[in-house]
This record gives sequence, C-alpha cells and structure tokens, in this order.
Amino acid sequence: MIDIRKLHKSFDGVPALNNFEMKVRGGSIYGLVGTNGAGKTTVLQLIGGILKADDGKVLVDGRPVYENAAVKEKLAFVPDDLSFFSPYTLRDAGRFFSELYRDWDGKLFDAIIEQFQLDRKRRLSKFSKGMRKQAVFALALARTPACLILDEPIDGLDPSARKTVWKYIVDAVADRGMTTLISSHNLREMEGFCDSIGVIHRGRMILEGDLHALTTGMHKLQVSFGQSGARPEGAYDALHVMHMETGGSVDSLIVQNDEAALERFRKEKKPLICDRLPLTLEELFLCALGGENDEIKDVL
Amino acid sequence: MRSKTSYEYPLRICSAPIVRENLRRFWPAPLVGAFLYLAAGPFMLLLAEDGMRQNHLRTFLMNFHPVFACMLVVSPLIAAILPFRHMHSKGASAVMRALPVTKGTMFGSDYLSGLILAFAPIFLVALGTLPFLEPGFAHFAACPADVNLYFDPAWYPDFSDLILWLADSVVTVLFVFSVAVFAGVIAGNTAMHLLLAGLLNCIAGIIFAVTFGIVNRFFYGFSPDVGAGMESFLHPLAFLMTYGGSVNMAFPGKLDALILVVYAATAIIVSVGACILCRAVKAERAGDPVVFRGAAYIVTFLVTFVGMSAGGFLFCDMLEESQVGVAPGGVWPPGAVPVNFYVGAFLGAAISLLLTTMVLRRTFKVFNARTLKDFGCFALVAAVFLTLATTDVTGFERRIPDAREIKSATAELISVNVFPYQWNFVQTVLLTDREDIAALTALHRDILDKADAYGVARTEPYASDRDAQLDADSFPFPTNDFYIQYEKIGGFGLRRSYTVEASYPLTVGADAFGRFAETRAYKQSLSLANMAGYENLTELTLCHIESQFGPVLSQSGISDKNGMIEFAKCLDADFETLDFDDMKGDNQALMTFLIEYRAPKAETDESMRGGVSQVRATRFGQAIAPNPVSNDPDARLTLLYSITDKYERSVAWLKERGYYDGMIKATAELVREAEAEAQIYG
Amino acid sequence: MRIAVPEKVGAERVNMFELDFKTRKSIYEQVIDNLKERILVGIMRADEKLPSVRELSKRLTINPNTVQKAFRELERQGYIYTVSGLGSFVRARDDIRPDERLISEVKSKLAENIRELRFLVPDRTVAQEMIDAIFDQCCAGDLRNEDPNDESPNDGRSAKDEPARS
Repeated sequence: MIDIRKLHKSFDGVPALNNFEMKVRGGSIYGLVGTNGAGKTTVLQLIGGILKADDGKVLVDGRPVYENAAVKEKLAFVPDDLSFFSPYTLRDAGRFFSELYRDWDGKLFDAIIEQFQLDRKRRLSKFSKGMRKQAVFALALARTPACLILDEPIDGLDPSARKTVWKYIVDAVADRGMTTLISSHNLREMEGFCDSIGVIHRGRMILEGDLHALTTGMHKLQVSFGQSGARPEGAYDALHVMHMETGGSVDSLIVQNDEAALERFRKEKKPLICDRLPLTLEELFLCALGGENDEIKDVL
Repeated sequence: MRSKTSYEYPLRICSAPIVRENLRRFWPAPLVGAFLYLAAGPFMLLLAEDGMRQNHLRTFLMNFHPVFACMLVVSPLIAAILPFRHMHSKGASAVMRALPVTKGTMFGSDYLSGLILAFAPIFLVALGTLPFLEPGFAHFAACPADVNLYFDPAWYPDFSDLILWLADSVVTVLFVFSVAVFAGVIAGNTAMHLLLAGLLNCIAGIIFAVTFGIVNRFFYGFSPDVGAGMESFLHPLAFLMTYGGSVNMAFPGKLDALILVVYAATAIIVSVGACILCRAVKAERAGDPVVFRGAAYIVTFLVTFVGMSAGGFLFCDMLEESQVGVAPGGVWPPGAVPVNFYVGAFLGAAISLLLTTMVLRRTFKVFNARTLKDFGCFALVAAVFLTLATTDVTGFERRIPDAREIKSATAELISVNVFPYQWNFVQTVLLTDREDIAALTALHRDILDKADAYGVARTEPYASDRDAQLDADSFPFPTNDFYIQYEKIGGFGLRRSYTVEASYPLTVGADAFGRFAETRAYKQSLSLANMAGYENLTELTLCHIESQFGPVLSQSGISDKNGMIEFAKCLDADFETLDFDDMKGDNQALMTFLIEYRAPKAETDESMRGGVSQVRATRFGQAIAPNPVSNDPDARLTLLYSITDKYERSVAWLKERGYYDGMIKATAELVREAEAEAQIYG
Repeated sequence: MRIAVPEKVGAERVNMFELDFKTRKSIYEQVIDNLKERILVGIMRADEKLPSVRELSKRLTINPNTVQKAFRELERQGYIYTVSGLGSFVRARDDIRPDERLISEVKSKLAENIRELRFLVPDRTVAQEMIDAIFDQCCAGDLRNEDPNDESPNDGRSAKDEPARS
C-alpha cells in the first residue's frame, strides 16, 4: 500500500533520511521504530504529504502523495503535536472534517466519542492530554481512511482507553482491510499488535519485514559453561551471533540460527546451561541497532 | 453531508469547507472592525446636528477621519494574518498540509476568506451610511474650484460619492491585503508577518524617499518637484491622504481612475506571485522568521539600505553646523566629498545589518564571519549605488545647454525680492528671444559657479500654496529659489532648481542676475499688463508700507478707470527702461501704490499668461495649488507697487493730472504717522 | 469429510480463551496453542466451523493478520482445513498429522524442560516418576473419543497445563 523508494530528505543541508526504502503491505499493522531523531516523524510526515521529498518516491497505492488531494483523502494522519486542534470543539472539528472527507462516517464518530465519554461541545484545549489524543483519534478514524498513520499515538492514554483504541483499529483492519502505520516507543504494546516492523536508524531502514518471521529466526540464549573462564575456545563459532553480553559465568547471546543449529551447538559444545527465550521486539530492536553500531563483540 | 472538495476539479481555486471554516473561526474580527466603523461613522452622524452632518459625512468619505483611515490599514492586515496563521506554526502546518487539498487550493481558500473578512466592515459601513446620503449620482464629474464642498447643498454627498469612496476603499484594502498576504507567505511566524507586511507596504515609499533624498542632496540643481505627484503611486494610503481620494474633486486633472486601476492591477499581480511562492514553501520552515533564504537576504538588504541612508543623513544634519568650510544649509558643492555622510552611512548600515541579522537568525550571537560576509556583499552593492547616486558620473550638475539649442525657456523665481513689488512671490519669466536666453544661461552658470559659497540644499519641493514668507523661515537665513527649465529644439528639455542665499542676486551674483533682470522677457513678466491686465484694474490707492501693521492706505489715489489704465501704461513703460541698479531698490521709494484688480476668471485667461499673482503659483505652466481663479465678479487680488524718481514718465503724468503734489503730501503724512506709531509701539 | 452446518457454538466457545499480553509467548503462538488445545481436548469438534478471521480478531482485539497466520499454520499442521467461501473447519483428530519438524521442535523443548527439572531434582528415579505423573495428567484430559451426545465438553480440561505455555 505504501511504497517508499530511494528517499532522500535533508533539513537545512543536514540529511535526515538517506536512500530510505520502506514497504507497507495493505491491510497490515506496521510498526515503525527507531531511536529518537532517527527520522520516524519525518517518514510519517512524508507519507502524509506534509513534507516534500528531496529525491525519491513516496507512493500510496501506487500514486505519489505530495500535493495529491485524492490520495490524501484516503489517509488519516494523527500527529504527535495536537496544538492545532486546541481551539476546536469536537462538534466543530467533526463538522469541518465531515465536509472535507467524502468517506466520513458520522455514526462511527458518535460511537467513538461516546465510548470515550468526551464532551462534544467542549474545547479541546480544556481536555487533558490523553483525552485530546482520544478526540483526535476519533476524528481520524471516523474518516474511514484506507490508511491510518499514527505518530506516538498511545502515550498518555490510560489502559482502558488504549484498549478501546486498539479495538477500533482492529475492527477497521478486520472489517475493511485498513492499513495502519504506527510509530511508537512502546515496543511491548506494538509487539502485541503489529504484524510488520521497520527499524530506522540514522535515516536508513536497517531492518524491515514481517515481525513473526524476524523474531522466529532469532533467539535469545542464556549459556553457561560453568565458572568464569570455563568457556572453551570458539564455543560460539558455529552460531551466527548478533549480540552478546557476558555477566560473570553466564553469556546472553542473540543468535540468528534455526533449531537444528541450536541443537547441534548443544550437542557439540555441551554447555551446562543453555536456555532459549523467545526474542521480544525490544531485544530485536536493540540488537538491530547494536549491529549497526558494530557492537558485536568478538567471541574469543 | 457530502461536499465536493478540490480533488474532483483539479483546477479549483478554493475549497468551500475551508472558506466556511475560516469564516466561522474568524468572524469576530471584522465584526469588531465593523463596530468601530459604525460607531465612528453612521452612529456619529446620527448624533450630529443637522448642519454638521454633511460636514462629518464628507470627512468620512474623504478618509480624513482617523478611524476610517485606520480601518483601511488595520482591517486588511488582520484579515491577511488570521486565515494564513496555520502556515506559521509547525503543528498547525502539519495538520493543514495533511488535508485533502492542494497548496494552491488552500491558498485560494484562505485568500478568499481573508478578502471577505477585510471587505465586510467596509460594506457594512457603506450600508450604514446610505440613509444619510442624498439620492442621486451627480458627483462623478469634477466640481468647480470655488465651490465650498462642505456647505453647498448642491454638493452634499450622494450615492455617487459613496461609490467613489467604496472604489477607493476596496482598492486600498485589496492592495494592503495582497501585500500583507505576500509578506505572510515569506514570513514564518506571525510576528515577522506583521513586520514584513508593514515593511513591504511601505517599501515603495521608503525607496523613493531615500533615493530621492540622496540624489537631491548630492546633485546640486536636482529639481525636487520631479517627484511631485509621484507620492500617489507609492501607496494607496499616500494617495488618499494627499488628496482625500476620489471624493475630493477639488483638483481638476487628477488621475484618480488611473491610480486605482494601477493599484488594483498591482494587488492582483502580487497575489498571484504570493500563490506561486506559497507552493514552494517547505513545511519544515514553519516557525522560522523567514521561509526563503533568498527572502532573508532581500529583507536584510532593504533594511540595511534604509539604515545606511538614515545614518548618512543623520550624521550630516548633526555635524553640519560645526563643520568649517561647508556652506550653510549643507549642500556639497559640485565635486566635493561629504565625509560625514559616508561615516554616518557606514555606521547606519552596520547597525541595521546587525539588528536585522539578529532578528532573522533569532540569536544575539551574530558577530561572526558569516555576518561579515553579508556585510561585505552589501557594502559592494551599496558602494555601486552610492557612487552612482552621489558622484556626478553623467555631468548632471554642470550641464547647461548651448544657447543655440534652446527653443524656449522658463524661469521661476521665488522670493527674489525685486523692485518694484514689495511682497515676495513667485515670478514666472517666459523667454523666447535668443539674447534673453543667453542671459539666462549666463545666470545659470553663475549660480553654479557660486554654489560653494551661496548654494543651499533644499529637501522638499517648493510648496507654493504656502506663503513665501513662511517658507523663508524654514531656513535659518533668507533664501531665493530659481527654477529653470529649458526646451531644446527637437529634444528633451532640462530642468533644474537652485536655492541660494537671499543676498546672492544683489551682491555676488549681481552681474549675472542684473543682466538677466534687464532682459525684455524679465521686464515683460513684471509689467502690470502681465501681472494684472489693464482691463482688470479696479483701484489704485496711495499707501505706505513701513508700518508694522501692514500697508496703510491713504485717501489719495486714482479713481477713474481710464486714468488707472493710462497710469499703469506709464509705469510699465518706465519699468522697461530701468536698469538693474535702478531696480535694486537702493533708491528710496517715492511713493507706493496699492493696486487692486479683478481675479482672473479661468486658467486660460489671456491676461494672466506669464504673470503671477501673489497667491497662485505655477510650476512650469502646470497648476499645482488651488487657483484663485473665480467666477465671482467681486473677487479681487492686490499688488503693492513702489516708484522712484527714475519713473520719469509716470511722475510726469501725475504732475500733469495734478495728482503729484497731493500724493507727495499724503505720503509724507503717512510717513509721519508711521514714525509716531513706531515711537509709541517701539 | 463432512461439513457441519455452521453453528455459533464453536465461536462462543472460543470466547473462553484469554490472551496474556505480558508473557514472552507471542500472540500468534498463544492463538495457535489455544485453538490446538481446544481441538485436542474436544471442545471443538470435528468439522466444526471456526469463527472467521475477522470475527476472531475483533473479539480478541488482535491483529487479523496474526489470526490469519495462525489459521494458516494450523492448516499446515493439519488441525484445520479451509473451504473457500465458507471458512475454516476443525479436522477430525484422527486426521491430524503434525509434521516432523514440529515434533522435533517440541521434543527439544521438552528436553530442555526435562533438563531443567533434572537440575532441580538430581535423583533420576524421582525425576522419572515426576515426568510419568505429568504425562498421565496430560493424557487424562484429552484424547477423548468423539461423541456427539457428550454434553460436557469442558470437564476434561486439566487444571495444570503448564507445559503447553511456558
């Protein structure tokens, strides 16, 4: 659905995105993660048609977004900075958007507002930060967009509000195949809902793909050969080690190998302890970054 | 509710929901404006007394009322700021750009909303004024000069005046609005928007004033009235403030329709330019002072340019008096180098550049290599400009056409106090004779030669509707003005104006001026035939002028018309024969006459050709002040004419008719009275 | 292969399982395991229609793609079959043929757990007894014969089904 190719974007001569590529499959829930300042918001704003790329293509449904009203009509961008909406009431904003967007669903809008228990006639500046997010979310979702783009959406919402938000998102994805693109730091939550992931670091996409595929290929191992120093030479040579930390006599490794390879390792090296833990998104993220920073320590 | 938005029609210039939204959010602004307008206008009219009502109404329609004049600026400024505010904050910009409209459509929608907001108060107030107007559309034609617009019932404002006012106001508001919108596209935040809107609106005026001031200061002989009338083209407000707009039709020949069309066209061009520019604005620059780097340079340059000039002028004015060797009044003789100006210009430029850079970069730390480089660039351009503007590369100052090439010439002498008339006034001399023209060019050359010691820099065109006496007070010493215009054979003419110390014609320049004063054309211009016209003489009375209370009339005089005409002819004949020594007025006046004559009926009154009255002034044949022409048969103008014993023919005629002795006695009587008066009043 | 008349019963029964978002086990795995369990235990009968991907994702508030993937995996492992246009149905238990790779994966997991147990219970005999007991427990709850007249499908669920969710 979203296709970014060879994207370059600089601000005042400082490059923010460099030869950036990204693919978001239609109907997926895509999580965009990265360090602060890596370029997440820039990417989202480029997709939303707010910024113009210096070079490269930003395509939604095969059509370029920038200055394309027809494409933007199908997008709903929920920014991090909600100050714009402060002087509005939900009623006014709803009316404005209902006139602008053909696919506005008034009933859905009413339903969401009611569920969040938001006062329609009150100015958004009087809402708490969380309620404002809920309100803007309602405004976005009521447009029944083909693609929902959320920049740090869940911060500041209480657990029940988060559940509601996810419920509506999932409903939309399930019912009409809405594509969702989320940028967030809350990797735990994203892990539960995203099926695709993209990791940005310093303006480049360093890891992208189906979350499940990425994480099942990688494992976290806790290995010990006994006391410190008991580790044999070349113990981990046979494994593709992405990341390693040593704490006393226990090594924590992140390896990219399949079951068979792990089994072989166990049989050959006979560690005293070799526990395997599923990899979380957080670890995947840190590991991917670690790879970029050449922090892979030499095993020997 | 399904509404068509822009994407369905790719060329749609605005989106209805956005316009509606803007109006919904911002309607209080024009409401306040309308309220102010209504309070100052129609409401005040309601309260005014009947008699004063029309008076007030005309004041409003001529935009002389401060609220009305203010609203023409404030309303469009606010209307240009509010709908475009979303461009000036990152958060708002992000949301608005994500909407399903192109930037062009957004601009069009905001522009239309702004126009509605700007025009609403004006149309509301027009409606509110309607009940007070006379019905009819009679006032589109120019009105005669002697009508008192304020109190003549035939000229009470009617619908046509309202339409003219609307035309003025709409064009002014449109212009200010367009320029402010343009400024808003360039500016990145609201504060800069306001500043730039002000700067750009005034820019034509500023550049004009600065260039004019510099050239006028540096080029001796530059005639400031080249710019007269141009102020109308600097800004609609200047046009309105000078003339009151289209409603005040006391100035025939005014190009008000042309001006309105020019401003409207400029406004449209500026708006289109703003639309094109706004599509190049990058969202990430919202919040910066200026969104285009090029614009930052231009703004810096403009402000520094103004600062440079201001600094230069300031320094010159401050240090002039203490300078030795500089002529009083501070004109720089041809070829001189005004060090003061350059010092002041440098300081002014440096300070302005630093301040502007601080504002645009939003930091105090601007003392670095980059700023120095900017200053260097500016200095380069400024050097070129100043060189061109201050040094006489074209030989402007010294240029006097060859006498053989001159077809005709006009010389206007202002406050040159010459005999026989006793009041300063503007005198116009028309020259066609070769000899006369040669005398004029010789005078011209002499003025240039004596510029070092006697030249004065005049900073504004001579405003002839002021009393020449008053004008002399604007300098710490009395001055004379010479305006010289040459028409060349088959080519462009030459126009110069010089202000010199009052003593010039009678002392240092006596030779050259004397030769000129003795020409036929000069004598012709001062003859009574020219000044009044024999048929128009109505009274000729003896008087004395030494009294501090003004001329004192005696009973004695010539009362019959034919006698007056004959005597006048004698006076003219005598005057023709006088040479310069006689004219200098060193001789004691024998007697002085107060001559009254009928005011001319029209511009083209033949009897007025080439002559002047004390009140009216011409500027090279074109009227620039209200003419005291009048259809009123009782309107009169006066002259004071003194004769000496050199007026042989006139004296003989008086003796012949038996007036002489009586007049001499009466004069002595008046002198005694004056002396007695002086004793009492000191 | 019989195709049962679509009933709501299957869908409602699915309601019962909860997802644990905090555990390290991914949602995907949890969905698969829960469905598998219900099929093995007999809560969901052969040829019973599963809720659609849509319905299930909405009910549980999880990514429909995840549910889709889970269904696909279950199909691959042989637990369900899909008829295009109608939906997915439970395969008869006897027809289920999990593939070798999965079996070896589970075996190695089991080996890990047994190893862990051995660390805690050094005595081999005691450990063996424990393991046997657990196995009996696990087996007791499932492998029930298919019987349409059986009215209490939920009783057999054992209280301890730790091994399935570590």
